Amino acid sequence: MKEIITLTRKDLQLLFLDKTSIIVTFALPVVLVALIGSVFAGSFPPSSGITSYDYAFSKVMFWGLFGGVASSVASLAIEKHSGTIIRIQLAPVRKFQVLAGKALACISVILISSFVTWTFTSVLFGIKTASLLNMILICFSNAVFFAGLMTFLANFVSTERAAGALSWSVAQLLACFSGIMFPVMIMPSWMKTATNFNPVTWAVKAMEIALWTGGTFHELVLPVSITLGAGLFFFACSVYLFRWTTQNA
Amino acid sequence: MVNLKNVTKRFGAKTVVNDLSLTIARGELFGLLGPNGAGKTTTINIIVGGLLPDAGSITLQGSGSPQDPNIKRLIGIVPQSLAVYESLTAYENLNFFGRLYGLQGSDLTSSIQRVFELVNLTDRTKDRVKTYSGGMKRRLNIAIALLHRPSLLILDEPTVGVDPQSRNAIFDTLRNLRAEGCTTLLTSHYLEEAQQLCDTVAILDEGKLVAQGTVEELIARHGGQSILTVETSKGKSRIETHEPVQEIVRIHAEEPIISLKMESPSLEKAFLNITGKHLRD
Ligand SMILES: Nc1ncnc2c1ncn2[C@@H]1O[C@H](COP(=O)(O)OP(=O)(O)O)[C@@H](O)[C@H]1O
Ligand SMILES: [Mg+2]
Repeated sequence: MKEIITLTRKDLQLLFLDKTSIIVTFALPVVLVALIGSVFAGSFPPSSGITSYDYAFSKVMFWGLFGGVASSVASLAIEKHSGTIIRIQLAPVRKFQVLAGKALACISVILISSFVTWTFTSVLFGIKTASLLNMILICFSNAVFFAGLMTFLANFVSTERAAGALSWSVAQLLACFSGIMFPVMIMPSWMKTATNFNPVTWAVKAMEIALWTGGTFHELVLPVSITLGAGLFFFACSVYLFRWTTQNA
Repeated sequence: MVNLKNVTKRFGAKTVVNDLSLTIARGELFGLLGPNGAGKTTTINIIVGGLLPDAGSITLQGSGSPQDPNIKRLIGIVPQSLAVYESLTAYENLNFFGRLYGLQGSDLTSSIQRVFELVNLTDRTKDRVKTYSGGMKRRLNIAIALLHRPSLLILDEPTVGVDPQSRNAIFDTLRNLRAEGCTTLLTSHYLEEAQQLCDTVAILDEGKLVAQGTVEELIARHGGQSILTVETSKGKSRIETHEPVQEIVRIHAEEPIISLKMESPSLEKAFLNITGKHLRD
């Protein structure tokens, strides 16, 4: 466990030194909520029970999480490229610990991003949060899912540039098929069906429940188990797939 | 300390290391030499367990396997690339890698201090690595490998892109470590450097071992003769000889020497004589 913490601390240190990552992960979502919320301000009558900002927050906060994923994937690619991973490999630590260290750093970043976006938008736009406890629970399960996804994606890239390209392409696709990009309601039926197989759809659903209706524990069991399960599944795959060096290192 | 037996490694159809057998004795400063692409880095990756050979075997420290965590702790590696975190300070780099090897508290602090002194970087420890010169980064790269007091230090091209001052500092460090009994394996494509520094060398070419022995042995066996270019009032002449001093004395007695140039036998020449090729960048 000590090794994992050491690795996590180093990753967080590196991440917080990277100003671009900070902006994308922590500031951009707040700006987007403000923009999208004001664009659709007229489309949410009082009878709907939520404002355009509530709606924007429930979707846009995910872009901060995607940003956290992208910077973590990039950090692993940089380690492979620069050779620091060779050092880590030769140290008495295991593959599992290295990935867990990365994942834990990613989870921390994602939790911070959720917290920052929620705090700022709550203060600025009075975001409705029906059940704070459920919302915290869901932030955790989301973090586990996105960190698992991150370790999985990191297997397929060996340069920083490839890392950015892959992470953001996957983010766009996941956002398209989950209601983040546009509402599920307006999708053609084949697409609606497809969204059910996307863990992000369930993450978004759970977030809506926690924010808008509060939701019973029962209602949340399915979406939370799906996101948690998918995250752990991706992590397990990564431990199996992970290679220390790139092809031409 | 290190024993390679008939090691072969292929990448696709290409044989990169070809039936290589090597022995590195304890306490030795061993040079693995050869042109770019000869297979040096691949050999090192095999020795440290990062790559598995297609054939042959490696043992470390008697009968240890490079995969064994207890053996891993004995090795310090300096990769060819600068394996450091550029946006962290030198101190933070050492702190991280030290913890990874289980060092902590005052042990860690004193180890960090010790390696900074070893590589002569004590005055810039709190600066970010990206503000360092190339030579300083190389020295930090070496410092990290020394933190846990390895008994086998492996350096892959430690002097590439290094200014002469840093290079001398690196050589001094390696000599001091040898005096402390650390076994060192370094690769280089600068034969001249190896000649100055190493006790024993092995020369690789296209994955094959073409020569192995002490520097003196190889030079004596394959280095050829000294070449004298002598100018006297009678004109210039070029003389090949095994006894350059006697030859100079003899010529000078006959006819006063106006100018003199001497090329001694060297590893560089030994390489040329063995492979028929010049070793160039
Ligand atoms: N992972 C790899 N896949 C394919 N070819 C490789 C790989 N690693 C090295 N090579 C090739 O093997 C040869 C030897 O490489 P290397 O061991 O790095 O040589 P050196 O360190 O002596 O310069 C080179 O021709 C290189 O292109
Ligand atoms: Mg090399």
